[in-house]
Amino acid sequence: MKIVHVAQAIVICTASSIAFSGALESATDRYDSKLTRSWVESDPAFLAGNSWLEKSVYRRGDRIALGIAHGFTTPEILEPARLDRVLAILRLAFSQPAFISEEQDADPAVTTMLLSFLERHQSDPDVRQRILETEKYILMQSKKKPQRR
Amino acid sequence: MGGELREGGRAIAGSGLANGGEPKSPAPGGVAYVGHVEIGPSNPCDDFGMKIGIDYQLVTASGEPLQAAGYVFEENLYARMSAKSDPSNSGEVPFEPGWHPVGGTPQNRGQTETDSAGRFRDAPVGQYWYKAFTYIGTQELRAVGPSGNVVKLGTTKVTVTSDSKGHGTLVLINKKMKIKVEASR
Repeated sequence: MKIVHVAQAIVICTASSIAFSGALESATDRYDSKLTRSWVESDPAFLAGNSWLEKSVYRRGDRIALGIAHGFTTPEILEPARLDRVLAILRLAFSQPAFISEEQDADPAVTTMLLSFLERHQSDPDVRQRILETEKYILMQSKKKPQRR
Repeated sequence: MGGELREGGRAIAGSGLANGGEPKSPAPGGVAYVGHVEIGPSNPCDDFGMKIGIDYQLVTASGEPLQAAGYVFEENLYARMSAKSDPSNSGEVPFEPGWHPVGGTPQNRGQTETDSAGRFRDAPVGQYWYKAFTYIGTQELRAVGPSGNVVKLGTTKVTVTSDSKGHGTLVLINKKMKIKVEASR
């Protein structure tokens, strides 16, 4: 149990660091945080319904979570309306695991960390349930593409 | 590659286009329209809009089919979208800047480059939404050969409009390649 608690603490601290770093400006924006932010701020139905946009998202896999963590502050990312859009785009990012461009991005390591962080900052049981269902879906999807690392 | 705009549904490249004959070696001069298929929405009766998959054939400068495998289709995108019920609900679609592979996608069976017949399917192309809209996009196209040679394929303008559930119209025009496709449901 102790190991589990330590692991959870590491996850929370790491995710907090990632989320807070969203306030920092990056000269190169190597995580495409601005682009990812614009996708999160879009209507999820539009995003998934646009043939050209949806493939940009589902080819990125885990990189979407990095873009979100760098693109938003913690208060922003925890806003209920935005949180649902975050969950929607994370689902879309793993909707087609066979088409994720980079091998490493097929592993939802950062995505699950982000979801754990979000879940621990929610008191509403319905919201927590939606987050857990998203995590369950992503873990199931990620198993469809063999991990190659 | 001369002549009128090529209308969807007309016989631009027949079934014998890539059949028979010896493989040709000249560099591609462009692409020809082969045909298109409708790609249905998840909720056919409720969703607005239209998507298609379009089949291209590499051709020589004189318009002859070119059986050249390994050409990767790339696109550079721009689009604007507006909801008909709320004109203020419109704006530029945030695409990744620069050139990116057109395929693979589930709808084009994971194809990333031309097959041995020199054909490539771009799918899906279009937009579905839950309300009436007008969508106008441009897709700058090019094909990058196995040796790195770049064949410019012009800019494809895609217009999707929908006024009611279960319906949509898509018009695709590439003036440089003299392609015009119209589809509706």
